Amino acid sequence: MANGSSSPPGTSDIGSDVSARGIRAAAEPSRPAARRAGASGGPRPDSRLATMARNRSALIVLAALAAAAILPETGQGNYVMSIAVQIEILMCLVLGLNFVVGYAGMLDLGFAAFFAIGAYMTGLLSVDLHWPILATIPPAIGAALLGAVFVGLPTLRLRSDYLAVVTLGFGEIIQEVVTNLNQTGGPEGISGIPPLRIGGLVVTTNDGYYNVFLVLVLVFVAVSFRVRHSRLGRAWLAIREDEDTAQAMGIKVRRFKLYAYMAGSVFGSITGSLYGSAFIAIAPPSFGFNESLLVVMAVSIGGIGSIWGGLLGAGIVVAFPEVFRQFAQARLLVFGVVLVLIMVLRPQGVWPESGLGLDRAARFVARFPGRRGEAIAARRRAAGVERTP
Amino acid sequence: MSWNVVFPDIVAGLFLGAFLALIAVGYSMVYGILRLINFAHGDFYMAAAFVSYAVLGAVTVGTKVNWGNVIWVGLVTMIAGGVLAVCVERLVYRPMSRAAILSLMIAALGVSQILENGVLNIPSWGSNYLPYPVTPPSNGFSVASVHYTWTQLGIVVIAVVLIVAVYWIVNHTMLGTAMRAVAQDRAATTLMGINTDRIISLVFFIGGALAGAAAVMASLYYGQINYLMGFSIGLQAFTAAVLGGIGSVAGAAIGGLMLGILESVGTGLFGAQWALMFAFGALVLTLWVRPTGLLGERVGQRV
Amino acid sequence: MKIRSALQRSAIAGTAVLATSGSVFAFTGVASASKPHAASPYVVGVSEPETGAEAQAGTEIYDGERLAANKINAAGGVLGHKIVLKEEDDACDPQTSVNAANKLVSLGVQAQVGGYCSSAAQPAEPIYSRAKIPNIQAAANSATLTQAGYHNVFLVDPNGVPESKAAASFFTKVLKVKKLLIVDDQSTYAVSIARLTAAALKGTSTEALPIQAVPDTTQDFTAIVNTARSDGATGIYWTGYFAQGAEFVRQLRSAGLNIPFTGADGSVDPTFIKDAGADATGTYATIAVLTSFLTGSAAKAFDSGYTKAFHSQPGPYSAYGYDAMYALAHAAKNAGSLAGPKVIAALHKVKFSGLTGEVSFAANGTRVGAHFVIVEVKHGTYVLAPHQPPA
Repeated sequence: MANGSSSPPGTSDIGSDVSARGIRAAAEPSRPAARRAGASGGPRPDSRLATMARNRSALIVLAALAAAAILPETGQGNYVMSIAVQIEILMCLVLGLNFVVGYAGMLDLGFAAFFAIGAYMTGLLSVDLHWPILATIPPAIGAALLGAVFVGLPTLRLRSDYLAVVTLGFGEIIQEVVTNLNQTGGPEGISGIPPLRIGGLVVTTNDGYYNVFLVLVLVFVAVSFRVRHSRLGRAWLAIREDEDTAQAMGIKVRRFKLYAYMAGSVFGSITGSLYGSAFIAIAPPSFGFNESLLVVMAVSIGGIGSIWGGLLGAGIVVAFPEVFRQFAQARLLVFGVVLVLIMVLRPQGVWPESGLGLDRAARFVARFPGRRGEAIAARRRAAGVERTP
Repeated sequence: MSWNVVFPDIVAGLFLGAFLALIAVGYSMVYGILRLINFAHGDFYMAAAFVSYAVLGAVTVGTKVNWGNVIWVGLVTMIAGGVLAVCVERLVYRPMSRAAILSLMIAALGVSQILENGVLNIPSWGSNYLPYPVTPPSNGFSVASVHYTWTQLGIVVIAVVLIVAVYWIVNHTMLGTAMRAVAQDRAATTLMGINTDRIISLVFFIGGALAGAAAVMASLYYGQINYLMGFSIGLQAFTAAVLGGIGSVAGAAIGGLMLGILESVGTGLFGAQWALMFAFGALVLTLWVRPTGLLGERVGQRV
Repeated sequence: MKIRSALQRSAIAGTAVLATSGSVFAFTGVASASKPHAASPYVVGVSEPETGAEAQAGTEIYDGERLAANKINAAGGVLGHKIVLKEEDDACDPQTSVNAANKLVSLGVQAQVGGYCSSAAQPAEPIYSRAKIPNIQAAANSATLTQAGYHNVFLVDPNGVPESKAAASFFTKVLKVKKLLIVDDQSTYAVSIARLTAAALKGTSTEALPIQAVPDTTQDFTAIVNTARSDGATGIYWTGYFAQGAEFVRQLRSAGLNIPFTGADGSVDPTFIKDAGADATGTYATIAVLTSFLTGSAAKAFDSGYTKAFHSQPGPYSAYGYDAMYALAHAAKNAGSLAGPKVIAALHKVKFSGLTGEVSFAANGTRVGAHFVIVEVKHGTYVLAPHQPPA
């Protein structure tokens, strides 16, 4: 199957031949990267062009990172900054769910459970026992891992749809438990969670938390990348493409699925802990099925398995309902319409693993007569990059 | 635990289970044929309820129940539910037929948002809890000092009849065979000369019609409708369908009954706040023992 | 090679994030607060749930405030300035509520009057506090809201203590219930009333059975009814919302259980009577709201004005929204200024007779002066119950 096809991995097209894909996924490193760099063996691209491209990319990257870093200084106002923080929080959750849904291909409808575990552990330890926030994170991770193992071990052998219901049930159970128990504050939740202290610094402002979560996002992205290009990541991708072939290739599928679930739980729990600190108070309604769906939505809109897609999806899912405030009570109606449109018109997500499709856009332009099209076509011929139409 | 206490709970569970079963069968059929968890299904139920509210409200005069009206409005609602389901299938799911299932699910979520917030933004409806125009009488009979109404009995009977009819269609007619063929292997079925698109639409129609029937019955019994009424019941119906073995009509029906009983008995034993947990716990246990649900078949995956 | 494309992708991602936030910023349109002069409006922000499961309560609060604002404007406005309401959705969710608060503050509102969910109101408190504007919560009333130490927070809805006292007294002295089953809907207010009532009944002649909590999406109460029967309950106290209350009492009666049914103030609504039909007759409720369900010309005017303006009848929280708006107006008039800090100071001293009783606030912002009565449904409307519990 051609790499440039628009059908994303994991398509349940009955009767399609997936075994070849499965084997290839297990063996190859990231396909788009290899292709884009022209490493597939054609003549070396024009070296000046390549250098310019490299410099330009580096500049763009640095510019983007610098822009993200100085955003607090540009005086955007609290409204924009608090949305930015929420986007970052969702990005972190998305990167966590990415291990489960994106890499290992397991449908998880209860991811908010780990978010809740992190938030409540931190809330309880910091408010009742006066622990500093940072100190509450390891126990929260421990609790989340326990939960992941407890739920995962008996159920991860289920088919994905059954797993979906079990994870949904797990999410509901956690929410019910924290709503009903006095120790977790009941329906009122926990309030008065202290701010984060790092060294001598106390984080109290929106800008401060923006930076904290920005660091978290970058760390999570880095970890996701490293894992993706490691044996663990490749094993997950193989499982996602075709479980049975992966098993036949010697990958212990159940164990790796558990690892994915555990990895997701760690990310979710850390995010939950810091969320509690940023929002001072936590209450059960924030940790239910709706939240789990929000994360799944962001992953799907962005592109399953794609790190950049996930980040973009998080941005869309948080920003759009806010942008739609101009529609007052109809804002979620508009959001629903936009959601359906995005999914129907671009089901693989806005930025799937196979790339933004900019190269195809360029090819499209190249077909037109005129200097611009010919220039692009000439450059591509020189670079020796081939495409299947 | 005395029988006196558990028995009424079981009966109550059977009653609740009848509704769940109706909706679960629709969920299950759509899942069987498309592998899609149609999150919008609960909202088909809600939209149908509002349609029946509008129509019944227009024709109802006074407080005496005109059962003739109820019946034909019920049929109209079933058709409306079916039509809505088919429209959504044609407009949203069919263009996405080659996409990953997760994308279809998110599109279903979008449809759910559209239906819910669409009703929310209709001025005279909004977020109100609207009283149903028809209130059935509450005369009935008593069993072991618990009073049941004829309406309740009637609802259960109609639900059973509908489910049996669907079961018969799916398992004992050519149409049903076609449906099961499409569910098993869409490509091969097309090669056999069957118009799979039409079959899929038909399945959606049946699912929507069942949801419409459930909507009228629930509205009659509970007496009020609200724009969020589909959300919780949709979730429960999905759980029931999985519990019983997704893709199987009988499984969904049994799953619905079981879930209703589990919730009721759970409420009786542990209190209402733990009922859902109890139900989910039982679900996990069931799936552990029978990973494909109570009546599910081991569907092999092609390599 | 991989790194190069990875960097490339991070570049686009960063730009995308920036673009998204930039577009949001563009839509925000930051406006600076202008000094009020004679013609400029008194912009009041309203943060309430417009979407989600609590949308109904949000609409009630907003409509109550609108009615009050219209009346105040018709009488000349506040110190000559007409009230303009700016509504934002908080969806009963902390994150959305924070966004709503930031949006309102950036639009330059001079006060916030609204709010239904305490969990959503809490993270928004520092935002209004920093903006130094009054934060009047119409319906949110959790104790946590006044514990954070913000001096601009005022709760118009009293916390559960006076209501639970009245309820307990009613059950022990008037209805003389032997075994009371208290049921809540897991929302913060309902749970607090349930627990406070159960605590108040300790050691009295009324035994409070273990509290049952029902998720607020439940329509089927048969199991609870069975529990009531098997536990031998001789009275029910429902502390949740009217919609489920109507379901509950219907199913109670259709199962043949004719024990007295009492609701808390969340269940007082004409829809309760409509939905429950004949089964509503003879039910009681504890409320502080004196709307047209009872006697009193101010109350009747409220009801007819509300119905005329909004084509629906007021709900349990409409009157709180109404009183909240009047509290702001009175305070501003007393302070002789619209400036936030001055109005806040005046709010601490305000005292007037509102629909929900006498409106004034304790030092920490809690409502003082609300008086709870028992009402009964008779002939399709609410009337004052003949036997009120002793004070």
